[in-house]
Amino acid sequence: MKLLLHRIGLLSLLFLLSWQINGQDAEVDTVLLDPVIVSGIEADDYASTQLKTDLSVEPIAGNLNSALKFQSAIPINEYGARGQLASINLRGLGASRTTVLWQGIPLNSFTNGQVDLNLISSAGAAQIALNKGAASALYGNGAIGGSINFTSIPTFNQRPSLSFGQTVGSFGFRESTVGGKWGNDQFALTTKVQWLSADNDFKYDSRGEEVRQQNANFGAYNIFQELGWLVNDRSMLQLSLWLVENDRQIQPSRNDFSSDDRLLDRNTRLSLQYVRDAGNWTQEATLAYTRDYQVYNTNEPLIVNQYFAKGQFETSFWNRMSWVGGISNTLLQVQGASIDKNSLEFRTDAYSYTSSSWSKSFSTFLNIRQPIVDGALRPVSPTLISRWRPIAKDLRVEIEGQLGRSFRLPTLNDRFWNPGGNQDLEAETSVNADFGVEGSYHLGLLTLSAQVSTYWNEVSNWITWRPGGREVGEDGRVNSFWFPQNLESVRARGVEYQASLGMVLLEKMQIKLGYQGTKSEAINRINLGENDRSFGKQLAFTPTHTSLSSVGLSIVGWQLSAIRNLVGERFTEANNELTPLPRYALYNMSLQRSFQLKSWQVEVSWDLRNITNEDYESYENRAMPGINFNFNLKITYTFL
Amino acid sequence: MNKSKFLLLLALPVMSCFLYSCGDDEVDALQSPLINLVSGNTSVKPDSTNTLVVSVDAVNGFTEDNISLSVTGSGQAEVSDVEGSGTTFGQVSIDFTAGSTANETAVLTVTVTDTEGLIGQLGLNITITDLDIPVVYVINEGNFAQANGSISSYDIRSSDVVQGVFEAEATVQNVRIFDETLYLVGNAPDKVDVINSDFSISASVTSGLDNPIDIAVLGNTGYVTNWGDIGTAFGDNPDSYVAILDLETAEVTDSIMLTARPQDIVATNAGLYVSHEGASFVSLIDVVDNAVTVIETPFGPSEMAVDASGDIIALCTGGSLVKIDTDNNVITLVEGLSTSGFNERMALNVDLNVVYFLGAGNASFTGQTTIFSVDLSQDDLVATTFLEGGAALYGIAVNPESGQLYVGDSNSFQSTGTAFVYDVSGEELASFATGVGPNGFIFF
Repeated sequence: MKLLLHRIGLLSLLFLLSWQINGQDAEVDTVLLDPVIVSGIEADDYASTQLKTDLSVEPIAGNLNSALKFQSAIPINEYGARGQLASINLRGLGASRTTVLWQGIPLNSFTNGQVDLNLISSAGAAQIALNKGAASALYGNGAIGGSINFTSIPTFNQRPSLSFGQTVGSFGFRESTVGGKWGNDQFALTTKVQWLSADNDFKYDSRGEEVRQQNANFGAYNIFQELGWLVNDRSMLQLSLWLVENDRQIQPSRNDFSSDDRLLDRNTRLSLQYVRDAGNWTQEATLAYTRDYQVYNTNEPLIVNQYFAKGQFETSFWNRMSWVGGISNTLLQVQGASIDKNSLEFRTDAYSYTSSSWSKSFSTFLNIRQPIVDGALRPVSPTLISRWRPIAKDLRVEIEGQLGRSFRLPTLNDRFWNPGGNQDLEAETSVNADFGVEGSYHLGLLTLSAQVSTYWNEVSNWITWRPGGREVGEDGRVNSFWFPQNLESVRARGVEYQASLGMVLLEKMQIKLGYQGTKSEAINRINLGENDRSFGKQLAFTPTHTSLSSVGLSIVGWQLSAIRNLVGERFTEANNELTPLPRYALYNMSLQRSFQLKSWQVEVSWDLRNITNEDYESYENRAMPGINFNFNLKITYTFL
Repeated sequence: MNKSKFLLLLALPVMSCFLYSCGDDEVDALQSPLINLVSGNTSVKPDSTNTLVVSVDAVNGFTEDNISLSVTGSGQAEVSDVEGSGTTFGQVSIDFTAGSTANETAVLTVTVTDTEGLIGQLGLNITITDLDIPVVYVINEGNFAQANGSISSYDIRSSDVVQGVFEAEATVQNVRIFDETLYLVGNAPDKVDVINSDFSISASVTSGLDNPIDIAVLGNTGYVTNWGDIGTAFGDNPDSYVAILDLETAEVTDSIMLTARPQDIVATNAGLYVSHEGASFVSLIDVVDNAVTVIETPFGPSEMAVDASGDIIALCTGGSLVKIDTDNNVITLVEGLSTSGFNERMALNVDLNVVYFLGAGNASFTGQTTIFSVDLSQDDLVATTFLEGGAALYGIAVNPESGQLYVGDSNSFQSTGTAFVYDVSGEELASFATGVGPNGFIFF
């Protein structure tokens, strides 16, 4: 059972992390029995530890957007209020250069390469891990800026429980959740159903007049089902199903009062995973199917089917080396009005991860991945990580360096869009380097930690769509269109830093102060000609500075936390000539309390967002809500 | 030579100035006992290149061999490159370039000498006035869905550029001027902004429009072409129309159903001509009863203009340049043009007899890189390359005062654009930064 069983330790760590960020009271897990969780091969073990951040699941309307926004200083472009498109801009490299995986399966849209953070509900995850930098190349296509891993792991041997949650918030926000968990020593079952909706009819200023936002409502549901089966003490099967529907109006620009555009998304995600511990090696196989169905207004649906199969092995040598070898295959099938009918693409990735501990304090990791698309080799992607952890009593220090090359394949739109799709496009490649120092110091009731890391990326063959395509048909008619090209290049570099101070003031009073920030350049090195003045300039919608400051106070079961998000100026165009969007700072506060009454656990939380009623724009000409609140009640009954 | 005889015989020169816009010169006379010169005060535009023609009448037998002329310029205003040429008696051309500072004066002095010295001088007062159109405004379309269309200004005298003198908060399709009022037609949001000449908004029409493209104004009525629902605009049954706009109430009061992506709209005495990019005809709307007459053309009539004869000139996406005469006969002027295939850009010169349009340098490449011209005054009409080597040309217009061409380059919509100013010989005179997607220019 070596494998299986990162038991209580890991679980406890999860709860600890949850407390650290959300201020969850440690009392709440007193009803847990002796749960067992099982995990397979952890790719994270071969990635950076310094640049990995575990994000907790937000208690209210948790999704990937809120997790990142309230727990990191990563820039996010929000195209409107809650429920509208939100995309990550990690290290200024754009939404399609961070890969999001669920159970190891890519969730980025295969048509545009991006992930709508608001569509990735935390209903489908027990753990959310953010990996930045070169080492995330081991996650494959698109992981140039980094990757985000959603994972759900069955918990065996847990008492059955039922939970119900209800949130009400400003601008008609409602969220209801119903869930159940049960596990014996052979089976584990988890069910979650979530409905949420909002009117988003907030007020804002339009040319000097106070108006209400129009055409920005949304309704969504998530259904998540998971069954774990311990086939024997060395094998586990995990079947996970995640259904999503999101029907939203598309929030128009701030002076548009007539738009009625809508977007309907339906996502089906099904995964079957088998893990087997064969003593000195571990075997894992995954079969998955995902279906992304999207309808814009009344247009013909755009459908992408992904058939995914992966097999990988892990073994150890001499107690100081571990190795993973694997291969994954993906068949993509796309249908849509503007895509060549029934376009297919077949992708294969072969990969190897190796970790070596050269001493108690020094280890290295060598990872390599070879993608193949429709039988053609794409750029090989190697990564080297060196980690040094000098041993000291109260002071923990880690120095880590990474060097690697990552890649991003052209999307299906890039290749098959009609007209303009370019099947001759090369994959983007990026040379990445990271170097960082992390330290933590314990002194009595005081814990101080700090981290500074620098990065450098040079992305070549940057794919850019531009107008100017022209075809003359047989009837002599001229057809003009946009088309994608590989253009050189974008260079990103910057510093990411964070520090935290935790203090236990009294027996039941603790305080934690945190600060994290980024200083980043994402510089365009594409020159379209003498009229192009963007060479050497910051990419559009990419702030050079972001930060997140936080204060958390825990007093006898009450948790009070406050955060400040700062987003610097952002140019709206690549020449950096027009007035940029102004910087803004958002202040949020939350208050939480948990009660335990025998089998009943009651959690109450209240949060206030944009307290200063800041009038700001994340994206150009999209109004954002002023001060707003959410009230959440969650009741969990555990059968004793 | 007997000097006194010469002076008696010297002609009384009659001075006249000729300049494009010089029609109201104040004339006074300077008397001389020996030479009778008439000077013409004149006004010229800043930075303009000018030619004055001075007439000197010879009397009493003086010949070219007897005297000579010289021309100099000086004064508060800058005049440069002053040169005189011509015969001693008769017409003398004086070329000079005016400085850029308005409301200053200079004196051009015509000096008449013989071998023994000065015999007469003529002072021409040159006043540098302001331009009728001192500032050119650039229409910046903006990026799709960013609602960042705008108007920029370019001061011809100082070369100063101000971005965003008007923020459209929409994608700008067209801005038209009628009676010094600007009418901005935008999408996302669909609207027509009625804008005063100081760029304050007098009204905004936001309902009754569906992907509006262009506007014509007759009296207090606006006529706005609309593609209709974008989902059907390219199909067989588009719900395209012309919205009739009451400019008093700023409301759409009626509509005239059309089809196939109505693009440009031009008002003439015959009615409203509407081009259809998705069809092979132009619609003619009778503004009395809103009746529609179909005028068949080659495929894809797009941009239209009225030429010197009052005929409609239409550039078609399919590569034809056609004329619709006042009897609505369609004459194909040139075929096989390398048009861009979508939303064609065309402008006529000041005399309305030369067509300039943007097109592709070759059949397969990428982008509108070339300005073509067609001289309508020729018997055999052909398109000639006026300029080539642009990157992503997107808008073209002619300054009605100077005749200079203003051309916008969109920088492939990757960022803000650039505008170029050319004279009629194709020489680049200036360039300046614009907003995103410069698709046209307005002059008022």
